[in-house]
Amino acid sequence: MLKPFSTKWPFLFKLRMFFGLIIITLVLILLYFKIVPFGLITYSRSWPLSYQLGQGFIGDFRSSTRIDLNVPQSNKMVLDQVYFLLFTPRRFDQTTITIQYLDKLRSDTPLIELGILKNKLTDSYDFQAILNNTNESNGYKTARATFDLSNADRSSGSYTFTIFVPGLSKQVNLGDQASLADQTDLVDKIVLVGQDDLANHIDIKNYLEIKKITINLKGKTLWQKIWEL
Amino acid sequence: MAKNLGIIIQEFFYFCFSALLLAIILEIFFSKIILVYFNINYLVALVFISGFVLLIKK
Repeated sequence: MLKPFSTKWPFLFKLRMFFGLIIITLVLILLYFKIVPFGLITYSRSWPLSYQLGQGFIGDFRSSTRIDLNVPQSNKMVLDQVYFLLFTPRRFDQTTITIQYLDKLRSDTPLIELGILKNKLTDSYDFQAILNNTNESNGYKTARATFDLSNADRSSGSYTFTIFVPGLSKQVNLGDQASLADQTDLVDKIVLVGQDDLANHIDIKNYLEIKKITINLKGKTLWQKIWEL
Repeated sequence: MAKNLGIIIQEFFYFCFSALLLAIILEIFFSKIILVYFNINYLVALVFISGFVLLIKK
């Protein structure tokens, strides 16, 4: 008998309300992930990279001469050491970083270290050796390290992480002209001057292939922040 | 129905344009708040497409 009130609303009003609600909901979701009110969040990235609409929180590996240049957005670390940035919308106090990787390292370079940039001016890092890695059935290994973020550098909203394999080097196959010894400097020079013919002779036998990086972050909750004010 | 379709296209254009403005304002105040999830260029393209459709329709 009595029609609901909403049926009397004009079509234009309903449509505007629908689109308005979408915008308000999106803004609220974005602000939630900006504030992270419960202080806990996880960011992860897998390789090969699936299609993503935005930049993502975890950046590509740098520098370009230390990764396999033949693969775009490569996850193959061929020289030590590589860096990657983690963008966070706010500060956090602690992080646990988990990396899943394929170990194709020489037996004399077994040590893998994870680090976080503490001071950009002095270029000082807090390093942790990954020793207790877990082997998985598919050949990949998983390793975990925990860092204190309270004194970590967060320039432009990003923390800088590094993966360090002491002694990892590319090998140059130049026949009789050079041996297959550790020739990191030579390889760097070849790549930097862009000598493609020589660059093609670089053998990538030893590398560290990162499959997935998962970063759990823990910080103050919104209520703790309000309480401190 | 044709009348409603015209309204829908017009309102969709307004929606995309206001979302774009809001995204730019949010980016100015909170850097990368949207860019990490979504490339704003897609929204610009959507504004152009819906704008052109609206112009043709009118």
